[in-house]
Amino acid sequence: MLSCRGSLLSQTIKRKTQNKPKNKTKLKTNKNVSRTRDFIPKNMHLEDNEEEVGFNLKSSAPSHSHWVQPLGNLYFNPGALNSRNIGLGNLQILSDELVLEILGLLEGTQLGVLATVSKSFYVFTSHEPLWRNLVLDNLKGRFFYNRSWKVTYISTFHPSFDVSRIARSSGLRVRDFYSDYLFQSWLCANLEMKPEWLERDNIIRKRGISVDDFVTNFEEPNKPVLLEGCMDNWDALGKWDRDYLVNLCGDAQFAVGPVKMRLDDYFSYADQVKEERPLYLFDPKFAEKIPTLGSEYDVPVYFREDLFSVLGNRRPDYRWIIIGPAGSGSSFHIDPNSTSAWNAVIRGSKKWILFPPDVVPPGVHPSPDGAEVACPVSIIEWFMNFYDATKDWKKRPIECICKAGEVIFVPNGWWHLVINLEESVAITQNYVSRRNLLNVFDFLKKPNASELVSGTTDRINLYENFKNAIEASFPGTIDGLRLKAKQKKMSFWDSVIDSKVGAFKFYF
Amino acid sequence: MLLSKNSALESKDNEIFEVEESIAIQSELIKTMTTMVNSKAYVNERNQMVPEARCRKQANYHVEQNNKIVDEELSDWESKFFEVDMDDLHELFMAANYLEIESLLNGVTKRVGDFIKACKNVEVIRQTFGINNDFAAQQEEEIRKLNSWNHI
Repeated sequence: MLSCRGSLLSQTIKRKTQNKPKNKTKLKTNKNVSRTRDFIPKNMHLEDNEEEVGFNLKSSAPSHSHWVQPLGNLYFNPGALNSRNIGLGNLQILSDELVLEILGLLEGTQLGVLATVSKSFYVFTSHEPLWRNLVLDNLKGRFFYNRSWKVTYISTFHPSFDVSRIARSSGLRVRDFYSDYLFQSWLCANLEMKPEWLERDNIIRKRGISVDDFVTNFEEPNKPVLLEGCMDNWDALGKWDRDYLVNLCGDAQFAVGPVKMRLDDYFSYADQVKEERPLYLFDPKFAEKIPTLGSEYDVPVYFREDLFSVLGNRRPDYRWIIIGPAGSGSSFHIDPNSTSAWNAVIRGSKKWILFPPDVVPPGVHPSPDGAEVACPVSIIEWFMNFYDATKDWKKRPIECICKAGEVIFVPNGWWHLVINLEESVAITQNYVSRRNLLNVFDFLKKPNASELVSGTTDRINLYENFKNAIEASFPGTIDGLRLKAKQKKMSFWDSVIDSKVGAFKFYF
Repeated sequence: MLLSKNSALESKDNEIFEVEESIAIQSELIKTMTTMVNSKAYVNERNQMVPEARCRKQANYHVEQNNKIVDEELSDWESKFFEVDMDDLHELFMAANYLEIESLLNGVTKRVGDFIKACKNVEVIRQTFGINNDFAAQQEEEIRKLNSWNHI
């Protein structure tokens, strides 16, 4: 999600360095785009529903409100001038990101004034994320989304102005403005998922297997699986439609990105929004806020061993309700604290892409200590620029679409990306079982635990507290597990030394 | 105090600045060059760079920044450092951009933001940044209407 103003530069610096490997694909995008000029002989802009680089624009996408074009078009139009540069004066040497960085320091009134300075500034100051930041900074979660972030801002702070004027006019058409950054931003906000991104479904699906089966074949070897039929007794499945949830939750404030919102207001936003990184409702205290929610679902039988529970209410965050519109989701990450997770879809559907722990997904750059993952591209941009690369890799990701009533098991350490294909409601929990306990200890013990450990305010002591609590509740377990692990290691090395053993593989 | 290794940086107009290595590598560009060219080549690393005035500013900026330990002193010094006119700011920006120095870019960005905030109206903005009004008459009218919320 586009972060608050203060840290935008660090994000843009990251984005700058990300652009280096991305350049190849960026060029491809440009070429493809200028190819569409054949489709659009006279006009240099895109009409509603026009196919752009073979992408499908959302049917609700407005005709581009400002006709921003990618730089590639400029190069195919010799002699043309870029009003972006003309209108910036001696700021034209700044990159798009830096111009936006500067604009991010300004208040709404100042942006409004700048909009009248030149065509270039008019386009720049219309950049929605600027207005989103202003709304969120000033109103936190108490905003009533109205058509766009800019209109939301105006209708809130200048309520006597008739915003339908803005809605009626289609805005100024600026025909000679070329900018990759702004074009990409618009494209990603209005793109639909391509069918070929949704085709591959290679996850193993199981229904009605025993817990032992699950542990032996999936949890122990750390493999993902999609489980069917384990939500059949959930009240939530039948009950959790919009009306029910809104009535039940009333004025309760749910965590949405950097702010907290009422469910009703969030749905109102979700219905209208078209942006690259929609705000996502992701609340770790939903059952504490509304106990009924907690009572209308059950932890599937496979995941009932939940060792963090020994910490009682000192345990890190472990369960979330997740609600979001189509296009919302999480870009590539590994779940914190080395836990495993399950994710159950109650309504809607989610596209999942998973890579094993030792395979860093294309376009993702984790820092060496794992404390930071630089993946500044949004989910949709990842699909545009990197999804194709996965087709050629020998190490293909696991992919699936998880629908209502299905539960996916995400083994610890696996990279995963999720995108909602329609408005979705889901529950997810992270957990530690004996299969995973030693990994979790190792993780919590790390010297930089204070940065890496998440979901708790007591990061430094979590290791000690957890270890002691386990010893108290399950004496001897830790030693038992360590012994088992040692034996396993020894037998592996035995088999390596024994030349009579057949072909084996090293897994690094 | 231990003597740190010094890098010798040559500017485009052939002036040589001796800068402590730890300061020189605040520039991402220099950092990359030194690590790429020779893992041990910290001393006397030469590279052609931007004109002298900018370079001196870089060197000064860093030296001062690293000498100032107290936060208050630093922010005072910083606001003075950036209190320059648009032309100098422009130069600073070019240098910061080329050398890829995040803290310097931050400072310049903030200063440009301050400039804009200080502008009372559209004309002043245009003058400050050397912008010509490129709206057609009809467009100006439309903009005015769309923007009238700003005057309520």
